Amino acid sequence: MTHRPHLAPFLALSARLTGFSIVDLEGTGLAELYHDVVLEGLGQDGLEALLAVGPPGPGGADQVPTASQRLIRLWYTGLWDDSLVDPQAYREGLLWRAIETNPPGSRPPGYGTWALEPSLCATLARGLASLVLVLALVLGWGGPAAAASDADLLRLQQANSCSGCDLTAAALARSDLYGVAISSSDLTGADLSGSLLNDARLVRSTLVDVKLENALLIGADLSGSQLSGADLSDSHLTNAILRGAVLRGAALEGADLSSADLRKAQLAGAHLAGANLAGSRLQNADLSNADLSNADLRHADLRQAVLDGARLCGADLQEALMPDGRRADGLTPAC
Amino acid sequence: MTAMPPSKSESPIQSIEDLRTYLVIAMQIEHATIPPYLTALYSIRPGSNSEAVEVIRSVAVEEMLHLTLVCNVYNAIGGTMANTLTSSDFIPTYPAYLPTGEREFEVGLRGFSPDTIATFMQIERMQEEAEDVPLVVARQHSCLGMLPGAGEGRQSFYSIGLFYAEVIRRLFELCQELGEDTVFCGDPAKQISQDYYYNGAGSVIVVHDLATAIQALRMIQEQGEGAPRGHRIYAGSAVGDHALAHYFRFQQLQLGRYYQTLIPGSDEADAPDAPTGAPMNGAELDYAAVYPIKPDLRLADLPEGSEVRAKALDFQQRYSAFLGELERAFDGAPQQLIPAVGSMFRLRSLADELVRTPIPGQEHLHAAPLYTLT
Repeated sequence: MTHRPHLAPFLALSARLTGFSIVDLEGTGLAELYHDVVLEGLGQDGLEALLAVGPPGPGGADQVPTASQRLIRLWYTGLWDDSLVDPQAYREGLLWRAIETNPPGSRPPGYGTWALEPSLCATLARGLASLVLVLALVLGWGGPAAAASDADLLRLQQANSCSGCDLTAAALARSDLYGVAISSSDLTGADLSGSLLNDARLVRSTLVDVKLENALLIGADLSGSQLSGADLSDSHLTNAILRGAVLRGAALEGADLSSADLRKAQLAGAHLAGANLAGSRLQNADLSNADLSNADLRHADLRQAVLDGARLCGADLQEALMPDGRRADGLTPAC
Repeated sequence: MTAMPPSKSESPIQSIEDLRTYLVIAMQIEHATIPPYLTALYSIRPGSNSEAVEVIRSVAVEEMLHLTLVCNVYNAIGGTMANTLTSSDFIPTYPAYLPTGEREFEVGLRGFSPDTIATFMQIERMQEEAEDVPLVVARQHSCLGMLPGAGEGRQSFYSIGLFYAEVIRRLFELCQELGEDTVFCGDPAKQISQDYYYNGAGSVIVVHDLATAIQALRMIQEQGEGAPRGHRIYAGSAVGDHALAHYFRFQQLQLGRYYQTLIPGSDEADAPDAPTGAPMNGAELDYAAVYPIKPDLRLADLPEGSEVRAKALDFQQRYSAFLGELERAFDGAPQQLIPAVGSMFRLRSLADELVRTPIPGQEHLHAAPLYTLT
C-alpha cells in the first residue's frame, strides 16, 4: 500500500476550500487519486507549499494562490487543468451535490425533476469556501461553468426563438438553428460549432467565448453582440451583419466575411489571418493589432478604420478603400 | 440538454432520395417563373419601356442561372437528370400556382401591365418578420412535406426563399446523419462551371460539398428577395456593385422610381418600399406601348390551318427540344450548353414574330409563345 504522509492535511485543506466535510470528500472515493494528481501536478515541494499556506481568508480573492483554485476545481468538476482525471471524477464532482442534482448522463435524475428549480441556496449555505469558488468564477478563472437553463433551451428548440434567455455553455454543436431569433440573451461559452445559423438573428446578445468554428452564419444578424474571445475560425459569415459587434481577440482565421457589414466593429487583436474580407464594410472598425496577414481585403471599405499595429503582410488590398479614403495602390504589403 | 431531438418522422425531407425529389421541384419552380417573365418581356413594343425591358430581362436571365445552380446541387448529391426537364409535368399549365405549394396567387402568361408586375412581385416576395420572430418554424412543428403522397397536408412555402431554407436545412441534417461524403456522391464531371456558363448574370457555382451547395442556394435566395435579416434590398456580392434583388427591381416599376443601393453621402441603401432615386420617365415606363397578346394562350385559340398556328407549333416544338438539350447538358455533357444557348436565342426571334401577329378572327388580340411540352 502506498504511503501518503500528506493525505490527512490534504483532506483537511480540501474540506476548508470546498465547504464539504472530510467524510464527504472521502465518500467520493477519489481522495487518494486526487492527492496523487495534485502531487504529480505540483510536485512534492508544490504540494507542501500549498498545505503550508492554507486557504485564503475572506476578501483576499486576488491573492488566492493558483494551486488552491486548481484544487477547488478538481473537487468540484473532476478537472485538473483541462482534463478529466478519471471517468468517476465526473460523477463524483462536488458541483452536483452543491446544486442538488445528479450528473446528467451519468446518474438518472428522476422523472419530472428537470422542472424543479435548482437550489442555489444550498451552494451559498456552504459559506466561505463556496464564496471562494464563486469569486474564482467571477474572476473568470475556469471553475465549473454555469449551465444553460433547461427551460430556455426547450423554449428555443420548440419556438426557434428566445429573448432574454440563459443559454450559457449550451451544448448546441451541429444544430439546425436556421433563422432563429435570439435577442438579448446570454450564450457565454456556448458550443455552436458547425451549426447552421443562416439568417439567424442574435442581436444584443452575449456570445463571449462562444464556439462557432465552422458554423454557417450566412446573412446572420449579430449587430451589437459581444463576441470577445469567440472562436469563429473557418466560419461562413458572408453578408452577415456584425455592425458594432465586439470581436476583440476573436479567432477568425479562415473565416469567410465577404460582403459582411463590420462597420464600427471592435476587432482589436482579432485573428483574421487568411480570412476572406472581400467587399466587406469596415468603416470605423477598430482593427488595431489585428492579424490580417494573407487576408483577402479586395474591395473592402476601410475608411476611418483603425489599423494601428495591424499585421497586413500578404494581404490582398486590390481596390480597397483605405482609412484615409484613398484607393489602395494594389501592392500586397510584404511580410 | 433536456429537449427532445427533432423527430425524423416529421421531417419533410427524410432521405437523399427525398431531397433529390425536392430539388426536381426546385427546377420546376425556377423554370415556372421564366415563361411568365419572357411573355411580358416580349410583349413590350421595341423602342419603348427601356427600363422595364432591362428589369424583366435581367431577372429572367438570373432565373436561368438559378435553374443551373439547382441542377449543380442536384447532380452533386447524385441526382439523375433524365426525365426531369423533359418530364410531362415539368411545365405547369398557365395560369398556375407556383410549385412552392402557395395558393394565394396564380401566375399567368400575360402582357406587360401593372397587374403583371404585381404578380411578379408576389413570385419574388420575402417573408419579413419582427426582430423577435424566427424565420422558420422549429423542426418538430413542421407539417407534412410537399412530396407526392402528402395529400391535403402538403406543405406550402410563403416564398421561394423559404422553400430553399427547407432544402438547406435538410441538406445540413442529412450531412450530420450520413456524413458529407455520402451525401455529395455525384459525378463532378456533371457540374456546369463558368467555362460553359457565360452571358448570364452572376456566376455559376460548382457544387461539391455542403458549403458550396449552401452558397449556390443562398445566391438563389438573395438574388430573388434580398436578405431577410436587416431588410436588405440587394443581393450581397463580394466585389463590384450590389445588384438589387428581383422583388425590388419589379417594385421600382410599380412605384415609378429607382432604388439606390448606396445613398450618396451615406453608407446606407434605401429601405424596402421607400426608393429615393430618380423617377422613371415615359421612355422608361409606358404601359400603353405593349402588344395586346391573348392571356394564357393555348394552341386551340389559334385557327386550324392558320400560319400563326404553324408558327406557334414551331415555337412549341423548338422549346421542347431546347429543354431536352438543357437536360443533356446538365447530365454530363456540359459542352452542350453552348449550342443550347444558341437555340434559346433563336427562340427569342420566333417569340417576337408571334407577339406581333394578330390572331385571325380576333384582330384585337395577338398570339404569343406556347410553353408546353410536345
